[in-house]
Amino acid sequence: MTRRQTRMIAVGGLILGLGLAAWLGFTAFSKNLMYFYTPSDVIDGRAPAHARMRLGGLVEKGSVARGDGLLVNFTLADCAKKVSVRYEGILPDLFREGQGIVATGHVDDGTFVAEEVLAKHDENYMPPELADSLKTDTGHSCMPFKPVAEPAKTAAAAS
Amino acid sequence: MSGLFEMGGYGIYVWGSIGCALAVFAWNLAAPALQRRELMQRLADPEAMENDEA
Amino acid sequence: MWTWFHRLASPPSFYTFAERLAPWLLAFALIATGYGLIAGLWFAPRDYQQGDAFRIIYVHVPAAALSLSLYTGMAIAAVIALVWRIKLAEVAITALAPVGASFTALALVTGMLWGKPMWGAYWVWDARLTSELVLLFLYLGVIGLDAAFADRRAAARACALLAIVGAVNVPIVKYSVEWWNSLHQTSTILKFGKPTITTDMALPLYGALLGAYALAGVSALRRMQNVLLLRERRATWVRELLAERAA
Repeated sequence: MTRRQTRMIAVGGLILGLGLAAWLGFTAFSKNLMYFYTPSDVIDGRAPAHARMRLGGLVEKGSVARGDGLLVNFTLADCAKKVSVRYEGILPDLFREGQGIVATGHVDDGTFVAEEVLAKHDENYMPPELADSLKTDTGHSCMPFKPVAEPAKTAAAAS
Repeated sequence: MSGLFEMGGYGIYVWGSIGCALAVFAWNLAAPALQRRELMQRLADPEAMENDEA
Repeated sequence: MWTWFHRLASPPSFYTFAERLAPWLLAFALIATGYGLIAGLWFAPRDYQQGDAFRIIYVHVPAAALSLSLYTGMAIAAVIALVWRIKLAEVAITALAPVGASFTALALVTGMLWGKPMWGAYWVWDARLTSELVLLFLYLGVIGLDAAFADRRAAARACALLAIVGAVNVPIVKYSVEWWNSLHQTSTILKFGKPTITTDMALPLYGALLGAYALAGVSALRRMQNVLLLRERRATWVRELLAERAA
């Protein structure tokens, strides 16, 4: 065997080993890499019960109710379940019904009390006239909100 | 015309991004050019080069 | 084919090749970038959802795409450098690292400037943003490692190893938004299937992308020339080149 072939095998082995280690690492830590829980996770008890966490979903159409001052109540939904949210504070510019939202807070008596609300916009870009003429609701897809339990399966279903 | 600078209220973010991008583009062109000029001057002098193991 | 490749990989012929190619590539880069930015900022319609803030896409996406492409290029050069010991591949690692680092930093900064008005936060620790930050540290690691060795061959070998190990991060950055929940949205154009952007918004983006790739190409070629000049400073071809310039 020439020295070049030895080096080729060594580098090949390095790449193979790295790939394997990376794959094992992701399988083990996949849950920790999830940025937020979904309403399904909260309802099905996969999310921490009283701890601070992030909840992501779509603002349900017709669910936004504004109260005194900056108080706002709305419902967050993924493809299956929904959770009602209470928030007092300034909403991002993109907040509207049908919009993807990631809220930080905790579950209190079945309601998610949010301290911070961030907007999660989608990957679609079009001029306003086209969005109007499409007439369909420009609400976002629920697909990006994957339950934490089976990330691989839902990701495969989405693609 | 004024709309182009205001960007619907997002002017500072849009133009800030463009400014950063132009700065990175310019640096990517200028840095190697300056480095080359300096290198050519240094290498042209063989005596200085012998002492220096850069 | 192989003889052509070998001849190009020799330092003097690569130097000459780069010298000829760079001005044309630069002209193309300026035209394409100019078209992309002017058409994107001025003529493209505003987005139905994000208004004018979406125009940051015309610098953010090219920067982010380059941050991954340049790292991939660096990792391929690293494999060639380790297995075949081709000097030009070692030079490519040294030259690509600063270019890649600058575009990664640009992707992060423009992303922050886009995140603040749209998401409501400059920074969040989701999988996409975190892995892109790791990518910047990998580039900086290669730059630092390269500077730490006096012996050029030893430096190249150390950098090549780091570049290959770090390549694990490239698919993570790319697919983080599909594998995990993230605040960052999924890809618009650099994906399989139909791009989810209208043509009048997409054409300037393709222009800006091609322009940025060409510009990064010019920068990498020029840096490779510099590294070659320094490494080969005692070689006949460099002495001749310098004598020619002096004359």
